[in-house]
Amino acid sequence: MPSEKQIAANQSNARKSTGPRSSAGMKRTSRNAHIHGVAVSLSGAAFAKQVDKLAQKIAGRTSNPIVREYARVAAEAELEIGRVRRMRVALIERASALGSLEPPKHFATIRQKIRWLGARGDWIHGNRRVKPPTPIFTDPSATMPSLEPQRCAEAVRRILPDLIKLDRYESRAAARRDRAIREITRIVSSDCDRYR
Amino acid sequence: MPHGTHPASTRTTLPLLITESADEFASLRAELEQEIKPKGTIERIYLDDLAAIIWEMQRLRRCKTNIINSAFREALRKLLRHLLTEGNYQDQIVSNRRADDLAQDWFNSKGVKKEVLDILRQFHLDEAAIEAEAINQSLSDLELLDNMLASLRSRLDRTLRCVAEYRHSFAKQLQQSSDRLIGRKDVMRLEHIAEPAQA
Repeated sequence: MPSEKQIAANQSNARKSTGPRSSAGMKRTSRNAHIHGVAVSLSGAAFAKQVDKLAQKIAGRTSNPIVREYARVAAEAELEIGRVRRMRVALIERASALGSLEPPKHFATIRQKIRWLGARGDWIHGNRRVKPPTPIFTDPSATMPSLEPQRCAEAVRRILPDLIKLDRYESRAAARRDRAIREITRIVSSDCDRYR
Repeated sequence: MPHGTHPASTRTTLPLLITESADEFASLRAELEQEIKPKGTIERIYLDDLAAIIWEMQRLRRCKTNIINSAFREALRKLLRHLLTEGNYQDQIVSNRRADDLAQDWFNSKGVKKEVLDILRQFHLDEAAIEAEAINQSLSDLELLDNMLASLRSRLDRTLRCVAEYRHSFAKQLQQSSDRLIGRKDVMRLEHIAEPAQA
């Protein structure tokens, strides 16, 4: 059991942890969901149909509208979990095939690129005697192991930060689904108590 | 049946990597199904979840082992370079080259393996030192994998708790429903049936 002092310290630390504060940080994190596309709620007739079908299965024959609504929440979360799992596999397959989720680059950083362009400009205008070396195209797939299961492990290793983000999304969806199911059982139980 | 799907599953497709066996997943799911004996959609959802979590944990454990194995050669190279350190710079270049060659041939030649083990023995070390260096080199990745495994482990526990809670609640509902039915006045009682016979 944490002491009162520990609880107070935790609460104070939690208040400090409110995410990025700089405008650049906030801008970067605001795009997290867009990069992965997981937090975007699904729409479209096909998805709605899938949700309806699963929600009906979860709710059973009940006519209670609250139970039906919770069943819908659980169904949506369950389908989202399925989507995250498909995404995870797709990302690992892609990293395994291409060596990275990013397209291959000639420069590791923008700063390197600017420096090289400056040196090339100097050389063209005669301000530099030696021509800057042509940047080497780094193909991430070239350094991938050729055999399985090492190749798959290397793919997972390279995209670990992305996989951790997906893991968080999946955990949140699972928590949402579990909460909804718990509410359904609570309501159904209280209905039973009422009829006793 | 599509790749990795199960007829009773609530999800239409179960995501597996190309290199993973759909049969192995199906057998894992069947074992869990045998164990849990799910009844109804909600229990089936939990069953699918458990199977997916366990599969994912197995995948990550395999990755951990392979990441350490992949780092083995580089770890051996680094360790040998350290052990064969020379005071003279020229000698150091030669010994570095020797360390690189030994690390390269470790997996292919029994003679080289023996030679490396002899070098290690001179410093009271054995193969465990190479493994330790390989783990040390992969530590940041292994830490991330361990975090993911810990998160999956806690989700597994939570899902099992959810199944237990749901079953408990469902059993309670069944008991209440049966109590209600038994307690109803219009239910024909045995003594009522027996009465005319006595008369």
